[in-house]
Amino acid sequence: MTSAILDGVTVIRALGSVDDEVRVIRSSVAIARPRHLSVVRVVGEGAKKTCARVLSGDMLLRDGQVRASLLLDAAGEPLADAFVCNDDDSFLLFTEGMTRAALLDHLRAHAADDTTLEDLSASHAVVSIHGPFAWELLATLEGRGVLGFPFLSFYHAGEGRLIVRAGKTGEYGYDILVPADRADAEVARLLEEGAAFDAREVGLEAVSRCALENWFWNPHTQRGQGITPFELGLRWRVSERPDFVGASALAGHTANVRATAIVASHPIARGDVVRFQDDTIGHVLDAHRCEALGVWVAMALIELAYAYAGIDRYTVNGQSVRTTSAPFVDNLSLHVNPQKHAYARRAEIPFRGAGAGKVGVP
Amino acid sequence: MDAALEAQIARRREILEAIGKVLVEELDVRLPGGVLEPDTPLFGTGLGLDSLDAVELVVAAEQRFGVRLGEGEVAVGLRTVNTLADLVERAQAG
Repeated sequence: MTSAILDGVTVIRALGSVDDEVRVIRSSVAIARPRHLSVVRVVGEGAKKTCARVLSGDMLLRDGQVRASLLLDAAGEPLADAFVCNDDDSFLLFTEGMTRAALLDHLRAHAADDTTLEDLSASHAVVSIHGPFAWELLATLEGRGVLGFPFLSFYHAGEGRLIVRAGKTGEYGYDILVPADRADAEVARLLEEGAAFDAREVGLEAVSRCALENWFWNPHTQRGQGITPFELGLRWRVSERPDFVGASALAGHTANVRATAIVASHPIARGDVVRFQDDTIGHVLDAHRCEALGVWVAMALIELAYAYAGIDRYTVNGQSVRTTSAPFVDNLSLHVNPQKHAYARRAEIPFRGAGAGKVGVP
Repeated sequence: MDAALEAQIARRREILEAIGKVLVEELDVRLPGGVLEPDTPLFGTGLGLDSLDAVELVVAAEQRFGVRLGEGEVAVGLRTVNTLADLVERAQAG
C-alpha cells in the first residue's frame, strides 16, 4: 500500500497495482475513501448568499439537487473543486483542493450575516463507490428505489447517512456521507455485499486517473498561475452572476490557451512542452499511461489557434502526439441499463471496450 | 502554422461552429459566456441537455451533417461537441 498527502490529509494512494484498481473502477465496483474531502454545512438565513459569494456556479438548486461548482480566488483562479447540495435550504459543500483550515478561513471571510458554518469533516467521513455496477451494489443495500435518483442528486438514507449520486470517473458513482465512527463498518458492509460484484477497495490514484480519462478537473494537478476556468474549459461551472469571489477578474479575462486532450505512444509528463515544428504552442498539465487504451493520455494547455482535436502534427519531447476529443475512453456505464442489466449477466452487455471507436495514436 | 495545418483547423472549426449553431438556434442552448468549449459535456453536467434534446440532436446530426448514429452510438457520439464533430468529420470523409 502507498499513501499520499492531499489537502494536508494522508490518503491511500494505492492498495496494490494502480492499473488493477483502474480496471476495477471500469468493470465492476470500486470502494474508495477520499479522506481529504472537506464537508461543510452552511446554515441560516444567510446560507444561500454565502454560497453565492464563494461558489462560481449557478445557485438555482432545487431541494435534493447537486451542482458542480468551483471556489475561486480574487484573481479568478480555482482554489477548490466543489459540489453543492441544497438540503432543505441549508447547503452542503463537498470540496477538495484546499486544506480544511484554508477552506474554513475562506468561507468565514466571505460569509454573509446570519450564516453558520458547520465543519462536518471531523464528525463525518465520505465513502465512495465507483463503477458500472455501483448502482447494483447500492440497490442491494438500499433498495431498488435508488435507481430513480438522477445524476447530481442526493437523498437522506438511514442511520444518519446521506447518499450523493455524483462521481468523477465516468462510471456510476456515489458518495456516502456517514458518521465518522461508522465509516469502517460502512466499508466492511460494502465489501461484504460487494463480493457478488467482485468489489474491491481502491486507492485515490486510480480514481484520479479515471477522472483525467473522463476529463473531470483535478484540483491537485490541473492548476497553476494564470490558469482560470476559461483556460481549463470550465466556463460551464461559471455563472454570469457578478457577486462571487473572482467574478470581476473573470469578467475582464480572455483566455489565450485551452485545455486540450492529447494521446501519445511515448511517456509524457506534466511540464513537457508541446511544439508545432520549432514553435512552442503549449505545455502538459497532467498525464499518465492509460491502462484501458495502452497509450499515454494528457491534458495540455495549448494556444487557442492550435487547440483543436484530430491533429497529429504536434510533438512532445521530439515525438508525435495527437490531439483528440475528450473523454479519452468509452465507459461501460454508458451501455449499462439498470432496468435490464446485471453484473451476473454482464457478458450480455454490448460493449466493445474502453478504447473502441476512439482516435488512435500517430 | 503552415497552410496544411491551417486548412485542417479551418475545417474542424467550421464543423464546431455549425454544431454550435444547431445547439443555440434549434435546441435553445445558452452557451456559457457565449463561448463554445468543444469538450464541455452535453448531457448530465456541462450544457445540461436532456433526453428530448438528445432526440433533436440525433435528428439534426442526420439532416444537417449526414451522420447516422446506430444503436449504442448515441451515448458515445453525443458526449461533447467534439465527439459529435468527430462523427461529422468521419461522415464527410466518406
